[in-house]
Amino acid sequence: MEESATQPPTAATPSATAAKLAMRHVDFHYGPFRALKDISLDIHDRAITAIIGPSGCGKSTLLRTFNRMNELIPRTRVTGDVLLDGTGIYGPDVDVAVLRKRIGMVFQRPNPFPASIYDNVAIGPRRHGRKEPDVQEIVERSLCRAALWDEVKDGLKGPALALSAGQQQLLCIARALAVEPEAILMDEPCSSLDPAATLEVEELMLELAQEYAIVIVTHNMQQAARVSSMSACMMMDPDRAGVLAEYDATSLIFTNPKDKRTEDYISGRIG
Amino acid sequence: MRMSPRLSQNLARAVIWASAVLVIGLLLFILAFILAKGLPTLSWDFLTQNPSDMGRGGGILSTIASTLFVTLVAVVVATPFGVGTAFYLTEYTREGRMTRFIRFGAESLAAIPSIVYGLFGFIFFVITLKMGWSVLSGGLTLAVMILPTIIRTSEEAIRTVPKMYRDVGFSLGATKWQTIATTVVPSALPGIVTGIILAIGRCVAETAAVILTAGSALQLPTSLFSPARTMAVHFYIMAREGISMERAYGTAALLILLILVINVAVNLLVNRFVAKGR
Ligand SMILES: Nc1ncnc2c1ncn2[C@@H]1O[C@H](COP(=O)(O)OP(=O)(O)OP(=O)(O)O)[C@@H](O)[C@H]1O
Ligand SMILES: [Mg+2]
Repeated sequence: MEESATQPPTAATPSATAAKLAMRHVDFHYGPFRALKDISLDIHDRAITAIIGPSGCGKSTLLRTFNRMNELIPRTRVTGDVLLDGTGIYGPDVDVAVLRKRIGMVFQRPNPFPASIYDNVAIGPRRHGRKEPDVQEIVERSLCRAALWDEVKDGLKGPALALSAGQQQLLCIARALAVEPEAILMDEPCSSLDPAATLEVEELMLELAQEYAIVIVTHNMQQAARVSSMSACMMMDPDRAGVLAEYDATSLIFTNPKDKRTEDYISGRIG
Repeated sequence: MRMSPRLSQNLARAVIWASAVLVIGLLLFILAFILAKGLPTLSWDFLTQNPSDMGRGGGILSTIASTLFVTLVAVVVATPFGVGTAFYLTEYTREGRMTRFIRFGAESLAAIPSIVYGLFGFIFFVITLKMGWSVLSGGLTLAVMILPTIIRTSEEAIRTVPKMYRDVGFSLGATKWQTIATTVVPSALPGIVTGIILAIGRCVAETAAVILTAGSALQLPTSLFSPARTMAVHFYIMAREGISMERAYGTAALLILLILVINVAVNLLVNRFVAKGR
């Protein structure tokens, strides 16, 4: 981590093309309002997929459909298929808790619990029944993975809220990693960070993409271009429903977009 | 006639200052008055001996014990119901007719004067359920009385836990119950405890509701069904019947010190709560 800090991060190349996550003709409704319309896409394993698009087009909704966080909101409805490793996640015999353990999430604002650094990372494993010597090892491993270990190893019992915003976000990533997920969803994880911290998180994402399927929502075109190998550009239909305007390799989306709206959005004419 | 802005500002400031000084002054005066009259009576013997000769002699041990027992029954009974209701209202139902109804009920209960609780407790616990004047009747009556306080403070404490924490809990693969137990409860706990301590303060200070339900017997209560006279009731009877003003003030001084301690505890907790919530 230290050596690579001086080099600009480079986009990870998709090493495997198997779809870790997928959607087939997915519609999503908040009450009567259709927020997603007929979305189909494959999320590759061991790669970063960026979701871009103007505000309110349904990026967060799409992301939260992958780990069924949307159903915490009353009167919502999903139709179509959402697949993890080819298996539907909205099936009747799916255990939502197990599903969410397999698909981690990092939120827009760093949101550690008002507890110690150690307890923040330990909360997931403890909850899943791991005992103390194991937990300790998982905490250390997760903090190492999140490139935070060296900075906090002497103050694990210190309050998490005393860390800088960037460190807090790394801690939240460590907390997500500690439940040993297979995929990680990130909703604008850098939007409240300064450029240096943003760079750190981006490097970490590239590192993690060697092992996990990562989906990141971002408003930052440069960020999408820097880190992602695939990009999904979403747009709003006239009825305000979110649609997938274009989905392709990031290099193609940014150099040679096929969709007129994508081109306008990327070149900054809308959004 | 128009005042200059500066003049009206200064006037407003003076009025605010004067009322603040008045309130603090009044408080300090009452405190100093009671303590000056009561502290000389407070001695080790006064605290550890039972009253004798209707309170003319002896100490106030049995009334301290009665206060403790009655309050304990009230808190032990009201806390699970109150906190449970608060969690039910905030976590397990959607806003609707039912929650509005429960909340309306709690607010109405809070507005009822305590003598009415006393009357209710007398008719229901003492007479109908045949519990007689007892620690149990008094405790249960106080439990009903403090229920709204506990519900409301707990509900507020639970509501101030950011929704984000719940989302994080769920996203880590926790069930609803686990999320509440491991993320909501710890964050809300100081607020809930604050409410319970406030309720304890109300129990300790209450007279009207207990005199009708726990009675005014001077013996040390030995069971839940023993009649009991709390410190506040003791003070009231001693003063009203002119038995011993000296001992009445001694009791009042201890009561005031106790309530001060409770309020300071609440303040410390609230401050810690606020500091923690960044
Ligand atoms: N809880 C909700 N209830 C009803 N409508 C909602 C809810 N959350 C989002 N929406 C609506 O769904 C649409 C998509 O919202 P979403 O948050 O997914 O957009 P977004 O692309 O993530 O926007 P942003 O870039 O501003 O984060 C918007 O029109 C929004 O108003
Ligand atoms: Mg969003």
